[in-house]
Amino acid sequence: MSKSSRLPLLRESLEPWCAAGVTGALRVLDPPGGVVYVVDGRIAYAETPVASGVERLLTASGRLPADAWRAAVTAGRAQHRIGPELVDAGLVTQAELESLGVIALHDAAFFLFDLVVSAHFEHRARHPVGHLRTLDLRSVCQEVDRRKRLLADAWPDAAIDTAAVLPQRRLRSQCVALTALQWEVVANADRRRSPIDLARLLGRDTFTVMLEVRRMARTGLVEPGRPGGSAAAESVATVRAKAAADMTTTALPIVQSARHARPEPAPDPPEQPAPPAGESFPHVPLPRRAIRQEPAPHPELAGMPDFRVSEQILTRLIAGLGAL
Amino acid sequence: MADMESSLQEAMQIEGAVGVALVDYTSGMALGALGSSKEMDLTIAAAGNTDVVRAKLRTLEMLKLKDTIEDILITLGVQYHVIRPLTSRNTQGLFLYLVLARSRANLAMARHKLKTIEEGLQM
Repeated sequence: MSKSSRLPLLRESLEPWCAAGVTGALRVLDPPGGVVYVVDGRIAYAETPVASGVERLLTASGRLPADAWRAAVTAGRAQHRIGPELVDAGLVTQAELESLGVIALHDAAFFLFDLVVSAHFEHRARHPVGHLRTLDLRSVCQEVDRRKRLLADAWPDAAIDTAAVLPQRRLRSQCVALTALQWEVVANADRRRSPIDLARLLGRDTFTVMLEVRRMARTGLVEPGRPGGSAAAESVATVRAKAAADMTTTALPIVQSARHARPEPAPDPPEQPAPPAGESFPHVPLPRRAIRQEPAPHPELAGMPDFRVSEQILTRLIAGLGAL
Repeated sequence: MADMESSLQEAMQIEGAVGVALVDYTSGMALGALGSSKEMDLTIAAAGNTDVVRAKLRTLEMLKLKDTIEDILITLGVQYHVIRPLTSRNTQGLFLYLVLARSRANLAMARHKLKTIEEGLQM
């Protein structure tokens, strides 16, 4: 629906929906994946697997036992009230929950807003935590830009965000002062985990962990790490490399790589490319696989329009199912 | 129980208040702000004052003073800026930032009220 042939930045894709004052979710279909929730034209929440969401911030940090979170999910998921359930149970305060929501929103926005990815808008979709504070798109963009500047000022090479954190084994100075977060990073760096992995592990927001690692690199406490680490870190590194490459090439390769990504949200039985032809097992995976493989054999120009049609069909099917 | 918006509004009711923000000082981001204007961009103020808080905390650490900051007062020609770190476990890493017009403000009263608002935020 929102698919455009020019493939704008995600933040640009959000503009029309925000300007129209609608409520729904813009789903990122390509890696690293994610969702930006809009309520009445304002940004309500954003999430991506590589950033720390409210759940990680609450549970991995030790603030709440995982059981308490799960209980709230069970009780509130269907009504989009996980957050209010936590507040009603006296586990967190409203202000704390709102703060974490804003922190998680920006953490995800940092990774998502400047991606060139295909995305589709799902009307009326809401986040199960429930919407807390909503923010102006422009102010979120400004904060994302400020974060990019801060990171670049601290240490210019972005590769450090996805590389294993390697604290220096010996220091030249006799004495160092660390912030509490820097201490957590150093204490948990196992010479494999990247800043992104550490943030997830510690339940801290990814941006501040990346910033502290870059600051420590600048002061010589951390070596500029070697590449590698977890799948999450790899995926961010890949996406960034792709974005950098896309800057210099035309839009065409972007479309192609977008096609290789799985068009994930399509477990719809009434799929068009799979007329069961009397088959007695209406399996879901079948049509999905068919779509995923179709463009793969010919990654040239030819497949492009087909893919876009199939995506439109998918979008319509999803909208139809949503309406049901 | 106070949500962020009502706490910020309460802070704006303080005599002489012209702006208030709740700031996350690990990232330097204003989580919420009221009274931002062209003359007083609270998102910039939030980021800048984060450095103030960090520097002061670091100084206390270096002096080995086992104490915490209740608030930081900065007196300008026409304004007071009051920074109040939140102390409870679940709001650690946040501070309230209040801008007052000196001509209208009662500093003692403002500090007292900011304390009450802080308690409301972390109850």
